[in-house]
Amino acid sequence: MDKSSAQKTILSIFGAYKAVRPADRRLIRALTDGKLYELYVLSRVLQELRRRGFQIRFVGKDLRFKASPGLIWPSDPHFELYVPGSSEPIFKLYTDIEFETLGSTHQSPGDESCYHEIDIVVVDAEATDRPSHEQIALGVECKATANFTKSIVREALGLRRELSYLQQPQPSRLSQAGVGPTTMVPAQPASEYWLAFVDPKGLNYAASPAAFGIKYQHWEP
Amino acid sequence: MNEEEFLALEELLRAQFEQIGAPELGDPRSYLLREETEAPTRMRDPRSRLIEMLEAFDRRLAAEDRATFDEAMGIMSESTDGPMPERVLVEPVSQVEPLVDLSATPNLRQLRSTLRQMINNLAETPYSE
Repeated sequence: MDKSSAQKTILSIFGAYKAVRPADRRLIRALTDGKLYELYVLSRVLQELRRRGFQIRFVGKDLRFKASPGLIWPSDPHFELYVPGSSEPIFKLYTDIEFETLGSTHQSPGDESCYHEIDIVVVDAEATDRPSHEQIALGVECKATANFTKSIVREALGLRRELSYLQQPQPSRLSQAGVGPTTMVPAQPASEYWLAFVDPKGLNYAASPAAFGIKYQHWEP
Repeated sequence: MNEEEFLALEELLRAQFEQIGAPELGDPRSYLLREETEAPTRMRDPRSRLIEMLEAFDRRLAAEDRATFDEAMGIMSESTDGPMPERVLVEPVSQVEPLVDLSATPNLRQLRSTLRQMINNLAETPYSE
């Protein structure tokens, strides 16, 4: 490939991209906000939960992602997780939810720092409103950023801090449901926390966060 | 191609990233190299940088591609029992704006195929410093 043909190809690619981009600015914003990647990660989470032995059902008409995180309303569309043979769900999965932090249990009154947002969350079936950190079995953060940065690591470490105390490894809450192989986490409450990202360079930043039970998921569509 | 030619292509690519509202893809700080933990970081060579920028662009495109929507719905269908969601919608911040339907995401398959072919071609292009 010579310089001239490379220039032509670059201009052709970007010309085609600009031509095919949707006219709807709200769709563009939703895509650049990572909502499509969040959908992809959600599918991979469901796949992993299925692999672990849960039966999963969607409840609702349309699946909805929020532009800004909110509270759990049981009437909202969500997924229900069942232990095989059980008629009642043990957990429910929601998207874009705020939870009450571990730190907030030590501070009264609280302030804006006493809740954080999680992109995808598996909570106790009876959880509503803002679940407490104790009601969370799994939290998943989705990073569609094309280039992984260390600030993502710091953000994940901060969120993990507000979910659980560090302690000796024990079976995770998902494992304690009694399905599939046991996953151990160094956390109390024993929630799992996954960081999903597209840039393979993110795997170069996994070692230290693993000590705190942060599982890196390089999920690239 | 020589270093000067690759640098010219990198400048062209940066300008294109600016035009589409993604200047961060052209930030050279995202393309540093550290071969060992204790070694100082340094810039990758221009050909490697150019290839990495194009690969980053492909990752961005994947997050805007109808193929990703289809793949996600396929995995979801295989992983769940019972009815699937009828639509996948994004609620806007403003309550007065209508919902955004993610199935309207454009098909970028051909564009991404061209991009990946270019990446392969550049990887095989001799680099003279």
